[in-house]
Amino acid sequence: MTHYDDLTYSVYLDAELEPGVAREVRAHLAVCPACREKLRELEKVHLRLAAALGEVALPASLLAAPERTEPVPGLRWVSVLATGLASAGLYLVVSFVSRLFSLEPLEWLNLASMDGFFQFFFEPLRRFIEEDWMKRWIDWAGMGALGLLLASLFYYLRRIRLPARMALVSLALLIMLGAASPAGAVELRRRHGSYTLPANEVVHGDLLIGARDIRIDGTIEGDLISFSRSVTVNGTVKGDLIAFAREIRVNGTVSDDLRGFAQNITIEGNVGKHVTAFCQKLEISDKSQVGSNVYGFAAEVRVNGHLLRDLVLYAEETVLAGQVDGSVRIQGHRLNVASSARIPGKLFYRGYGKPVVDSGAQIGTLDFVQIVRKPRYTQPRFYLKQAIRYVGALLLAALLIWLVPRPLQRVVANVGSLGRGAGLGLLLAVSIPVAAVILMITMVGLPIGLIMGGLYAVLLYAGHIFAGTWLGAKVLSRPEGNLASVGAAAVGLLIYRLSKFIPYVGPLVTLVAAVVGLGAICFEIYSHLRPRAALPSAPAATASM
Amino acid sequence: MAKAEEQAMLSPAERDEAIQKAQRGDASAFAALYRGYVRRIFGVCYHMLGSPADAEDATSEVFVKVRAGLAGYSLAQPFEGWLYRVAVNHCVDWLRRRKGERMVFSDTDPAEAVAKDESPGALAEMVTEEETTAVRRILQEMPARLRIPLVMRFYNEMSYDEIARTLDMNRRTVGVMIFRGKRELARRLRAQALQRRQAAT
Repeated sequence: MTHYDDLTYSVYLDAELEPGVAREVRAHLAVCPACREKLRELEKVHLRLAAALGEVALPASLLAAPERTEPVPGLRWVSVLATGLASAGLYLVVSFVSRLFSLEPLEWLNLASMDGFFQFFFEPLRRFIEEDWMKRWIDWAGMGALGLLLASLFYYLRRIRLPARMALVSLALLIMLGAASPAGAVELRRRHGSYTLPANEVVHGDLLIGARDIRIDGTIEGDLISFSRSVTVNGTVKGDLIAFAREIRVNGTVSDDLRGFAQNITIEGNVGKHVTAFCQKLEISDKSQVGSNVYGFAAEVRVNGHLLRDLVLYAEETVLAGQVDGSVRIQGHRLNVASSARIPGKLFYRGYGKPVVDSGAQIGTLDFVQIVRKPRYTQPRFYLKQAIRYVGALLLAALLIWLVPRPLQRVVANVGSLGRGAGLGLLLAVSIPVAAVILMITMVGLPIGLIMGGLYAVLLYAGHIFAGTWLGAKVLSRPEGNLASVGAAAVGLLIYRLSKFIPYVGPLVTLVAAVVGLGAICFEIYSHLRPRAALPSAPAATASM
Repeated sequence: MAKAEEQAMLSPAERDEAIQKAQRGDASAFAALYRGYVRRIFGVCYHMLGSPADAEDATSEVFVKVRAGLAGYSLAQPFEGWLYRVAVNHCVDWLRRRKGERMVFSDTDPAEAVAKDESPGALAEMVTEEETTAVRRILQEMPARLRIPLVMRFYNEMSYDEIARTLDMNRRTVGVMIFRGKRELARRLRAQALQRRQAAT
């Protein structure tokens, strides 16, 4: 005779066994006194549980009318939203005021320009590092904003599961470590006004400097990371030079990489490895040499020196007058290859204007692809592109509706309740790119920064799909079923796509949709990270229920 | 008091009407819902949290959440299930928050404080008050992951499926958790009985 196990009897007493199994159990109980005894014991436990988990006396205070439940609706969300907005606002005010004191008060308006971007994000950071006591109150305000920002982030942290929290904290620590000291031996120097490392002085390790103007005449054995108005290397940096500045100038030697975010980058000396430049103007002068590839994102590039490897440029105007031993790839508006140019390899140029090649210039092979520029509205390709994008977004929406209907519903619902997640979205929309950029300038953080940037792009893209689906559902007023949801997505995304044709309104719609969608997604993720009844998975049960 | 409760109970039709009115912001309809369910919700909170004072606060907070979330509730799903879900999730949050600040001392025995108010019924004849107090104390000492399914099963009288949905786990796991809870309870009751017998001799 086979007996049933305790679990089966427990489920049996709960009347949750499948009818067939329950019948078999009953039949077994009829003939097995041992199991009957076992069941009686279990019944006693049931009785006790039922008695203990019975009704309890209600406190008089609760019996009173439910005025106590008169809510301050979403107080927490309001406070978080307010904190986020206050931080952002404070940051903007601080940036604005600090710019009023700086020399070019109008530059910050042009956020789209490289310099404006640089100014917007890094000027306050530079000011903090630079010891400038006349404007120190700005630093304090900036720190206050940062504190508020952290506080609101912490608010979220506090309410999520421990492992997730640990992961976030360790990530933050990693970021801080990566940002502060990849090699572990960082010297931090802050100077009011200018800083000069004298010619006979050697820094053993890395150097992080914030100052108005920086001049390195001596030797740095590690990396030099600088935030300044200008940085000039006359001596030697044996590691990398990572610089945020208006003016970066290398007259001496940088043995490893040069990574510059600046208005002007001028290389008169030697760079041992790669050069990565985000700038207005990049100049590699005729006495200089770069040991490895040069990547440039700039308005104006002049290459007179000797590049031992490849040259890759996105530049409006390029003048090649030096020697490039590897291949050259350029996309831009104008290219001039001067007579002194020596490019034995391949030169690929994709641009609006034909390249001008002076006689005497030596080029291995020249590939030129012309970009034809017409107003985009007159090109059929533009409409085709829009249609493809629309269909792509719609397909993705349909796929999501098919694969994960319930999470999708929740995210779309989050879009509807605007407050929910919009603050979070705004916070993340601003903080993710900043964090990613900061990560990318450090060696340790580069891959994480890249992943973060990629994820950000994906989330922003997904954001518009959710926002569009919400809009469509609003228009169709509560569609039922998956097919109707796809229909809603089709309508909403079409409205979204068409709104992009309207000048001024289009970009605004794009921005709002992305931020609100991002917030809705992140809120959903966040609500999953929040503690729920996290019960461990049970071992394989033998009972059939 | 029993009569007042009878009046507070809502028929399904009355309940649905009250929900719809409350969703439109009718305060008196919400008050009716409150009166109809406050006892059950307090019971859930009490059995989950084990302290009348905590349960009282938690009950108010649950109704704050219910009021705020009522707009998102659709009549298509069972109201009790939805309501219990709000309450259970709130209590789980509460327990988790409190985990860090584990109670070091408590001046009154929570199990006893409420047990006295119990009205005697058919069950009470078979299970003594003493035993009930003991069981409540053991339940409070049990890990939440075992206690919560037991409370949902024996207090809320929810089916395995409903519990599974609320706690976001599968039906089989619910069965196993409830079984383990019962086994743990039986084990501790036996241990206590043994202790008492040893003390007597």
